[in-house]
Amino acid sequence: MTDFTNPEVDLDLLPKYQEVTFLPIHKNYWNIIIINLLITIIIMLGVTAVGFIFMSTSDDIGLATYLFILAVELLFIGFLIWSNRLAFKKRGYAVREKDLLYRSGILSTTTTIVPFNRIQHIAVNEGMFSRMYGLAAVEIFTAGGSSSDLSIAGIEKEKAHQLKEFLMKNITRQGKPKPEESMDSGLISEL
Amino acid sequence: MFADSLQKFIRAAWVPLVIMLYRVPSQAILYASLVVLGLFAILGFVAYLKYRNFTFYLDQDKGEFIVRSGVLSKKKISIGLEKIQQVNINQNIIQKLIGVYSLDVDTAGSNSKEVSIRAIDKKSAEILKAKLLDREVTNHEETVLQEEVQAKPFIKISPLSLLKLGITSNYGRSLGILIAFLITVYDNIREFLENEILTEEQIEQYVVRNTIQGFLMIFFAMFLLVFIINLVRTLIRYFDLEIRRQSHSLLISYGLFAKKNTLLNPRKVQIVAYSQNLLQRKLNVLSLRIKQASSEEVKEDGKKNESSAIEIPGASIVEREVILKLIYDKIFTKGQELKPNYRYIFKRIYLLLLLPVAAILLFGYFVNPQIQDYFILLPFYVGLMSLLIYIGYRNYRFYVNDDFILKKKGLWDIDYVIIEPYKIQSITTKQYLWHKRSDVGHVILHTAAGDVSFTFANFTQINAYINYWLYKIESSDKDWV
Repeated sequence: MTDFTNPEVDLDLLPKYQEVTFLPIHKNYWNIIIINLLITIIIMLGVTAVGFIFMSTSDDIGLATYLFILAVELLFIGFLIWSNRLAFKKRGYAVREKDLLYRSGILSTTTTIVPFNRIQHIAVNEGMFSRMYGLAAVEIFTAGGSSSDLSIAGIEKEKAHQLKEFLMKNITRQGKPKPEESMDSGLISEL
Repeated sequence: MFADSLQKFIRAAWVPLVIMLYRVPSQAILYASLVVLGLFAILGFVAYLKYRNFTFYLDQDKGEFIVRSGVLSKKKISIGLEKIQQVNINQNIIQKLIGVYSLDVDTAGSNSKEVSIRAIDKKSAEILKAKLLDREVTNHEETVLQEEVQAKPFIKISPLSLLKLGITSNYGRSLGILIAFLITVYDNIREFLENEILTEEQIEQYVVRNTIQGFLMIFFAMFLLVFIINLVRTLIRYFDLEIRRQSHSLLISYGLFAKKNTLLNPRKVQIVAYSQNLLQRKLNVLSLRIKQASSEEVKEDGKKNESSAIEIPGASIVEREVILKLIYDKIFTKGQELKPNYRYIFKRIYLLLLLPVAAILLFGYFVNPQIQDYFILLPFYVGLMSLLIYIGYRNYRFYVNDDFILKKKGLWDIDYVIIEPYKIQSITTKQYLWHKRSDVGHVILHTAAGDVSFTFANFTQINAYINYWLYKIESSDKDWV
């Protein structure tokens, strides 16, 4: 206890989370967003096409109406792609020595900071399309409920696993005793 | 590393396939059964793939439990052994038939089970459970009750305090129930009157006058009734509330007929909240709520306890201080006051004043002129709302110091929430584009017992605090549970 010191903390000298430079999401992830968007668009257009075919039997609706609906849909698709592109560009993550940051949002910038020693568990999720591009999502769970959980999509698979390993190593607090080596190997061979 | 670690893949998941045999009286049924069979085959195939891809193992070197799953999208979940809170072994009917068990691993926080192994034989399940919880047992030994130190209760809530609190609270809810009830009654009466064919106007008027009189009578009687019921309920439920100290924990017992005992470990407290209104302040009573990490409330049978909060109604301000001191092991002090930006008021003026008033005016002028008769009420609405918004703003405050964060808000019942910085799990900040220039932003502090947010804060100021809180969280070894 003799070497215990408790100096005053200068708020201005603390590391500032808001000055961190964020790493962008892998550029191939944009392709995955596009694939997902395409699926939505195809379904949307398909439904409209079916609607047109059924409606065309009655003469109440003219060509102009069809064109109008189609134009609105195309505008909407354009908006979807544009807004997704913006959102994609805004996304980013950063790893500091003791915490992980994730930033997203178009109209509002949302930044979530998860200290390593509050992480409960981690999952690496490789979606079907993500695997085609060798990407993965790292999901981080804390005890703060679903609103505070993080999912960082679009990281290179290898990097994702590295990140996971790095986090797993760091979330175990130093004060905790290391797992005992004496745990019997009989257990699993029994299973 | 993997070679050293005890690593063997345990395959689990059975493919229960029930194939129905049909006789073939007609072709239709043949086709139908072919389709069904085909579906079963696909299902079976998918199930088989899932089974093939579902593996788990225990990495003893790293102290991790790892589960891999997924066919098209692959998932790998790693759980540090010391984070595991609960391991449950269950069996449902189908599993009973096949003779397997399911094993669920639960960590703190999230409501859903993080990992569920669907089919595992009992012996393996129990060995695995023991292994998973091995470290946990040694860690939490101290929380297991040792000898019962039945000290004298240091806090006793008298029935009088309960009475005071009961009288001054709950009437909002009572009134709500009452109004809902009366609206239905009124509707029924009106329907009844309309359906009756009353040709003579006088009779109708007589009836109406009588109903209004009776109506008021019923209103009053009902109000009284609901009020008394609520009061009696509070009295019975929390009768003779006592708090004792028991080794490291607090033992809270209460109840007139059904005596309830709750053991509270101060270390596990995440949030302390209390609420008090003007009348209660005059009578020196308040109602206190202590929230623990939600996963801690899992009972032995694996079902979640409905209320993870422990309620202490009728405490005085002095008693509040004593309880807080016991929980936090130091005296609670209010810190520096943070005010929300004036935009906090703007948003509410816009949503609660401008928008509804404009809607009513437009509706009255363009759609239904009859509404214009009620326009006279608008100034009263505007006046009342302005007052409420102002009071709301006055009460919306954050108080921050080294050890505590206090949030205050409310109109009539003022709610206070206290958290300790090192109990924060993660922090989210949010800033809209149009708030950037005026340096305004929102912050949400996530804890294991819920979120605490502060909106329209001075962003520079709150960011300085966030950096400080992060420093506190990341530099301390203190356990948050």
